[in-house]
Amino acid sequence: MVDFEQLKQSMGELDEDAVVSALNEVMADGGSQAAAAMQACQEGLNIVGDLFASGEYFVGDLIYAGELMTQAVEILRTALAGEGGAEKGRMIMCTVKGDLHDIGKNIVIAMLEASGFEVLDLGIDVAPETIVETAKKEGIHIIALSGVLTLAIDSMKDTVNAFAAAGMRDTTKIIIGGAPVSPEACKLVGADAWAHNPQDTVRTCSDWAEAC
Amino acid sequence: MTNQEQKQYRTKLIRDASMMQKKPDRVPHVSFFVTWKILDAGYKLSEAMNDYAIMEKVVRRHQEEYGFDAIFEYGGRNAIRIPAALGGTTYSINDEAGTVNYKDKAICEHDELEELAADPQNFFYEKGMARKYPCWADGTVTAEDVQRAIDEQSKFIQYHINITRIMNEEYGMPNFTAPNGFAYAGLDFLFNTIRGIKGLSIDMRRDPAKVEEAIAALNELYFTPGLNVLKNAPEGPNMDYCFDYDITLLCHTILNQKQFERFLWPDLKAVLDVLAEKKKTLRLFMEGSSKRFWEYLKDYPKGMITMHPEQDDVFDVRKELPNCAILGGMPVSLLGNGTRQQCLDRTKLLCDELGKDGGFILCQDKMVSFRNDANPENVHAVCEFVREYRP
Amino acid sequence: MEMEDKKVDITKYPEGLKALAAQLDLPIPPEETEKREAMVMGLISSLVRQ
Repeated sequence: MVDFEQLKQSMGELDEDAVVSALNEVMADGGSQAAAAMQACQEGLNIVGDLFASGEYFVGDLIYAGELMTQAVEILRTALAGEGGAEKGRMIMCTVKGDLHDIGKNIVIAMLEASGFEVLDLGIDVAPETIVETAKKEGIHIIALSGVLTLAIDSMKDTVNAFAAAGMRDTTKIIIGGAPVSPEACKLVGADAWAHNPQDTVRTCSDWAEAC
Repeated sequence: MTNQEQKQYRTKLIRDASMMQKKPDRVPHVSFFVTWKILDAGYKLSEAMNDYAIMEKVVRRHQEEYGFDAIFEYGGRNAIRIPAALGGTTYSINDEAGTVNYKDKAICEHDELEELAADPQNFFYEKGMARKYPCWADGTVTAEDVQRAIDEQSKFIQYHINITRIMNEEYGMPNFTAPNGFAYAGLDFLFNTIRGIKGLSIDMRRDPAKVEEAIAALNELYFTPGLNVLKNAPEGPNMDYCFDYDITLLCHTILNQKQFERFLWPDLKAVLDVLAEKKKTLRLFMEGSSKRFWEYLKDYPKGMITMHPEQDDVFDVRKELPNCAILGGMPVSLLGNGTRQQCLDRTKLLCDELGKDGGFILCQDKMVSFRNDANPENVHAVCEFVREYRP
Repeated sequence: MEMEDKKVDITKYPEGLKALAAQLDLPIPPEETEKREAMVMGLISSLVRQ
């Protein structure tokens, strides 16, 4: 019988052996507790987020946590298929045009998904029109834009303008994140919010999802 | 002033500011402009990065236009012609957008760390090369291809020798870092090239002992020899250069404190301690934010370290590290998007608050790469102001 | 890739390195084998780091 509180702590402590062992046990028992195990892992990811916010963990730990979460999903996959949905709804995330960085984006996606979002990851170097068309086609109203290079700010601005040109600005919430982002950049870009850490992104997007 | 006198004057300006023993004549201004200067000169990136004659024109024009006290980069940051000789496609130039992107590809898998540690040169020669260069992997590479790469390397080195001489003799520009003045710690090597950001993040958690072994093996080849040269160097600063040593750190951007102390600090401390013993100076550029590690630098002699922060606030650096000079302070976001007056106000504030007693060298906060990173009018305004202003 | 009649694969270490160091046109006298190999290995290290 797996101790889900312990599993949550193990995920929070980034103890790969303990996490993998517990999840394998869940599957060996038939997988009926897969959803509970996933929930424990997601709560463990929140502990990771707290430890990052306190300064004990840093970016390397978030990357590792993302890897561990990916492993967890892989182990539980067959038992989870068809289980529940993303209760917070769907959103889009991508790295903007001209920028090829994806590590930060992937960390944030892992945490957004852990918090209950279904994230449509459009990848890297994504043109504004692609983001707008996808949002329109999929009926998605929350967009997270990521970038590391200074030129990402221009691409983020172009993306916000593209939503406006498509008549979708008022029905879309846009958050920007990454190294060059700041309150001033957010104003320049015309985004609704900005964030430098994954937890702020999750919190803001969750608030938006609740308000929808 | 003759060019030789100009060179001496500028070297002294930067030395006085960085060593914090006396107030310099004025606040020096260093250029951290990289590919931006190619676009500013009206060339395409692919033109200048593939033709040293054009790159020379770009560098000359940059100084003629703006009149800096030192230029950090003379066009050598991305030596694309060398890997191109073997069909390397690490760099992706987009001339339309004016961008250079670097394709991050780890050359070592997690389960190969032991193999790397056992013999790094063997690993680089066979597996590293095969993963970076398809012609090496499929065996189609010829001795002529390698000859071309060697020849390109020679041309690159010669370009640097030439441009340095030109900038010294025709423009009175100082030389930034003394010979043998660079350190490349094993962890940074793992971070930048060998395992990459994601790979190293996983390795440090999953197999920390193997990371340490890999660092030790890499250091033996790429770090310790340089450190030994430093240990045998004559005491005292080399006043023909602005700085005795230069370290650019990137790997700290993923490390928590325990990882910093285990994997990076021993090497960094080794260099810093020798520099302190030899009474030499260091420009330390730490990408991203480095604030959480400043406590490690607090006890080094005043004026030994010149901090060049990227994301951290220079005023915080002054408060927390009063023993360190500061290089930086001018945000690229302001140079690119601010008004002329905002840039001037920022420059004056920096000079008054950080430079009034020395210890400050004005510079951009990051490598200025893209067209919109800086408005030429703003750059002109800042350059003119800092040349005349006496805080 | 093999060189001449000696059938040395230049992508293999250390024989490929030695063969290249012996054959390439380098600014180091032919008898200074160690220095020539160091120069070629220096290029390789630099190429891997690009």
